[in-house]
Amino acid sequence: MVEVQEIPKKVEREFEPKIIGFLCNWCSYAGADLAGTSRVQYPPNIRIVRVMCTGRIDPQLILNAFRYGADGVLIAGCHEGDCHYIGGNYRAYRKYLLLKEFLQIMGIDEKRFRLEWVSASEGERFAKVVREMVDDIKEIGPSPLGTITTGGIVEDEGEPKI
Amino acid sequence: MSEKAVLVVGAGVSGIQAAIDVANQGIKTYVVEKSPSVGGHMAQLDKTFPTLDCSACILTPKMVDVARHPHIELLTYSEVKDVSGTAGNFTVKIEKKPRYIDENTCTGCGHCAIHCPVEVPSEFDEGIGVRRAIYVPFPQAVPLVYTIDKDACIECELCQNICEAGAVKYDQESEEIEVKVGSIILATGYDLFNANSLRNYGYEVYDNVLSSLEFERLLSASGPAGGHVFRMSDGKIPRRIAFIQCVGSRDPEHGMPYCSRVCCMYAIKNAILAKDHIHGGCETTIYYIDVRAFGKGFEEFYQNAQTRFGVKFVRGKVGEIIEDETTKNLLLRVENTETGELTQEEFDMVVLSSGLIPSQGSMELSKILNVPTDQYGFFEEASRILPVDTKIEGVYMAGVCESVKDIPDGVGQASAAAMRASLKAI
Amino acid sequence: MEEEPRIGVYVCNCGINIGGVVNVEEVAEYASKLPNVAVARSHLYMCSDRGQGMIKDDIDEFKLNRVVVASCSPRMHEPTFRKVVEEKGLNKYVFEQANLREHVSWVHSKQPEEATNKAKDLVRMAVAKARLLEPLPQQMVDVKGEALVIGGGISGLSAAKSIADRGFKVHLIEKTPSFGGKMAQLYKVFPTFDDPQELLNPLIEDVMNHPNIIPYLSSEIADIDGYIGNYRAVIRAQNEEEEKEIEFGTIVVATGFQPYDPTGEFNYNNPNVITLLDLHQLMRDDGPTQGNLVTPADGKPPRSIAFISCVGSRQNENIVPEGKKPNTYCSRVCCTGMIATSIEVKEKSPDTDIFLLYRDLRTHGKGHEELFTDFRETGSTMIRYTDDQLPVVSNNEGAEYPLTVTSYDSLSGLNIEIPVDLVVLATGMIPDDTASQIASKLHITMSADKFFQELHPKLAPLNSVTDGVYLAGCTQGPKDVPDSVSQAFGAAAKACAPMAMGTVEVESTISVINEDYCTGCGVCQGSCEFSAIVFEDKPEGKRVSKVIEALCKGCGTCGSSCPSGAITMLHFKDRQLDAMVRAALLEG
Repeated sequence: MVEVQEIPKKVEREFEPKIIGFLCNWCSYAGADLAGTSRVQYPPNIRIVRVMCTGRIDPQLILNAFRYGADGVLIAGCHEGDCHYIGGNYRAYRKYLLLKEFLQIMGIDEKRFRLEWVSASEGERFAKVVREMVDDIKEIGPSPLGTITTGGIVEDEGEPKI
Repeated sequence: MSEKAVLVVGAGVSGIQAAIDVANQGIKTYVVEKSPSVGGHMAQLDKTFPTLDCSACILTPKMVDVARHPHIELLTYSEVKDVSGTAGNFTVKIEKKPRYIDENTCTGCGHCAIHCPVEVPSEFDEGIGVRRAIYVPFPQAVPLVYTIDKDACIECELCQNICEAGAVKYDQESEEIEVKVGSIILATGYDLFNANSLRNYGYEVYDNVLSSLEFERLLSASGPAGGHVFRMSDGKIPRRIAFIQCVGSRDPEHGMPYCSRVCCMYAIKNAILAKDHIHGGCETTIYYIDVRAFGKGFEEFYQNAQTRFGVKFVRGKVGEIIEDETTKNLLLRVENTETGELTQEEFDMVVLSSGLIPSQGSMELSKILNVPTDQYGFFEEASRILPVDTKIEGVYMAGVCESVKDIPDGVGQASAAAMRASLKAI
Repeated sequence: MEEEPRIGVYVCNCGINIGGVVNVEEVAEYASKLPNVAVARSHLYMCSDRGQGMIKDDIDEFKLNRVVVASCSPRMHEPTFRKVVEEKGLNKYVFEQANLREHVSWVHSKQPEEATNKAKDLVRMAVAKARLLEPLPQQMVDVKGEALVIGGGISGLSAAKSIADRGFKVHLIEKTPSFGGKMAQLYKVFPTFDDPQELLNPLIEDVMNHPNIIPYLSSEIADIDGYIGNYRAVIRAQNEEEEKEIEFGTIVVATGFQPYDPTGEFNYNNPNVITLLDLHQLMRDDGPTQGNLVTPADGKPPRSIAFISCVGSRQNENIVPEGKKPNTYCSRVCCTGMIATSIEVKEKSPDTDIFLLYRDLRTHGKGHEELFTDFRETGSTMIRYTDDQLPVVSNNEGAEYPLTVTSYDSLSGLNIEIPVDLVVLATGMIPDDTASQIASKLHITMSADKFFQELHPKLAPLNSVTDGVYLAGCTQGPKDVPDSVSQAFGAAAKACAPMAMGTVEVESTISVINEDYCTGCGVCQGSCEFSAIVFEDKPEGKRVSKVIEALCKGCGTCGSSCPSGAITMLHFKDRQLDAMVRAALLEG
């Protein structure tokens, strides 16, 4: 007689999105700091990369982030008219609008790529944006691009040259 | 570096700018500020007109600059006690008041305040918010060092026990510091006119009549209400707010004949912000005599307030405010001078656009320095073409202590005072 | 970067601020195993003397060439730690800070495990960037201790004298044959009724005799180029062939205003309809009628005068003449100007009836409201009109009074007709006509109202968007004499700072264009707000873009626009930022 052993069910860990945030030094990074000094709580899913201005953000960086397995990318800069470098945030916005279309064609849901204006005094707002993104992306699941480590289909083309 | 130094008294936005402009020329600058943090009234504002910039966002980098500048020595919680000498050679005695905290070891972590059992009204929040007996005036304070308000402290020593850095020093005493400077810049700012002398408006009697600075604190995202506007009487959201202009200004009967210049603009700004912050809508009405939207971008801001935001403007001076005892709503009696009608309008909340008067600090300094003031207490200028020179050689002025003005004019004047002061310090 | 990175990592407890949530020892232990990390430690307060000392000792012991501190926000202590590494001979740009307090322990305080994992991720990201960091030279630019002041009105004069008194040479250029500008044309200066000549003459004399000031009257700028500290200009005197080349370090623009031309409005072609400035000149002793207040048409004293405010100001599409674009702004000084002038008129001619037609009465300055109170005591009549019903000025051929002003008064609700001898239009200010040429030559921008744009409307009203160029007086927007002088002194202070220091530090973390990849498309130039990129013709006939380092602010907007990948943003390179993203997602 063959003993049938019950195969224990693998406990499904809840999906925790990985979000990369590009925050500008003068406004949104300071806003995120204020969330901290005000002790506003938000989920720990975001990893922040500090830039001087959202205008700095090359579309290649965003595309790479998704290729490397980001489930979501947030760009947060100064409100219209407040950019420390006068118009960098407008140029970021233009790129974001085009990139969003492009990403959707590639099958990346628009909920995964967000641009928000967060001022240095909007700590609560920053936390809210992160909470919303985490909730939204949890609903739609992990990024379809997958990652190298999860056996996705992305090939590692190497780092940028410059 | 030059041999002489410059003293700046007052570290609101004008004092800060003056200090930075002097120090940038390589001249040693002392900055004396009587409150525990620099920033002045501008730090209390939510947004500024006409750009609706976040006030703290544009001010805090300057605050950090003044604290970090290699040529600036910042003395907060300090006051000028005596000045002797003449232009080029002043001797100034400064009292550094005891914070009961070692400035060099305090890391600003804030544990002391979390455990302090005493709560008192916060001056920074204009009394509508609270702070502890050990406190920083606001989270972005510079320097980020705590202070013990000995009057409120019950000496329970909890803070001393909790402080990991060992910074609490109950036995700290005041220090007297003497400095020699070539010139002095006064930037001692303003106080808000207290409307409790105008009995017909019910300020400090009716719960839902607020001063403009109290309303600013309500609007501020880092204020006691987190930017939510609610009524003091019952916590409900006001749906009809009235702003009354020229409270304590253009009023010879009450000894305040001058125009406070900024109230038209700040009321328009606050009306717009009220509509923005209050979800579900809010009617705002401004009762005015003349709308003084004179500066760069001001007229456009005023027009936008009407067309884009729907702020109402009624030309008429409010004669009387009466409170409904049950609802605590307010009834305004006013003649609409454009239609000739005598009206009675009900509002949930009233904000008094109070005028700006010379600060207590200005009054004290004018005595110490013998600086002539005009009949209201603003420092007098030497001539039309020496607008930042006081009548005492070597003593200059910037900001509202000279006359009421907005932030751009204050900051521009501060740079002017820096120029004049630097000529006596090289 | 030739040498192998040797990174020191320091994880701060910040008392219990970080350590109370994040397992700081675990994070330090984790960091010590990362590639290129020579040493990793944790400490109670990294910013304290002991913490800083620890870094310095380790730099010596472990020959560190990169340092990472994981603690509070870099906006707080980055300068502190940069100083620490500089004290040990390292370049401040090899330091990187990870934010474990504001961005981790304070916002995930109930989730210590997740917070610790996030802390490890952030440290790994900082180490990934640190591996690729390079020392950057401190960019200093020499500043010539000479200034150019453009405009010789009260603002230009005040600025020039200040800079000269401070010890620097000043080239003061004025396009007309004399100094004094518009102020010299006034009858009296409000609110104290000063004689403008009494205020101006001593100042002009000082300026003309000042050893540090070189005045150029009747002159204009033929050409100008350069950047802060290093400008060159060619000055040409009118009616002369000769040109003079000058070099200087800073510029103050004080080109002032010109009065709005009301042609086509309010019957301006009638000789008895004049502007406020015209009236001032009539009242001056050296004016066309030797100071006698008489009407231009018949030379008799006016029995009644109507002043109309807001001419050329506060306009909208409905109340601007055909073909003109509306000036939406308020000209700030006309209300008080009108009131003050009315008082002066009453003084010269007590029997003249005065009617003031206004929209809002903006007597806002020091002493102005009191003037208004005095004005009301002269018994003059005020009529409040609204922007949807402008007053109409019509000719009365052959009647007793040459003009009639008809207006709706919003306070009485009545339509009023006033017979008058003289109509005075309180015209607004518009920028001087040289302003637009100056703008393009100096790469400074204009606001929507066409006056020069300041760097920040609240906190930097005297700086233009270009370093080294400062703004003073009405060139930036309408204002009165005391405010203009304040701005002039202020602009002088701004100009003196770099000149006094002799050098000015310009941004090190700037844009670098690789000529080999650059195709000369110019997209980067279009994206630069600071005019910091220009074309350069190479000997091989190729045209490439080149960064003027002194003007570059390092925002990175050009870098992300370049289609050829020719632009590197120092300290925020694509490689460095990408390494952080890879570290966040692919490693650990």
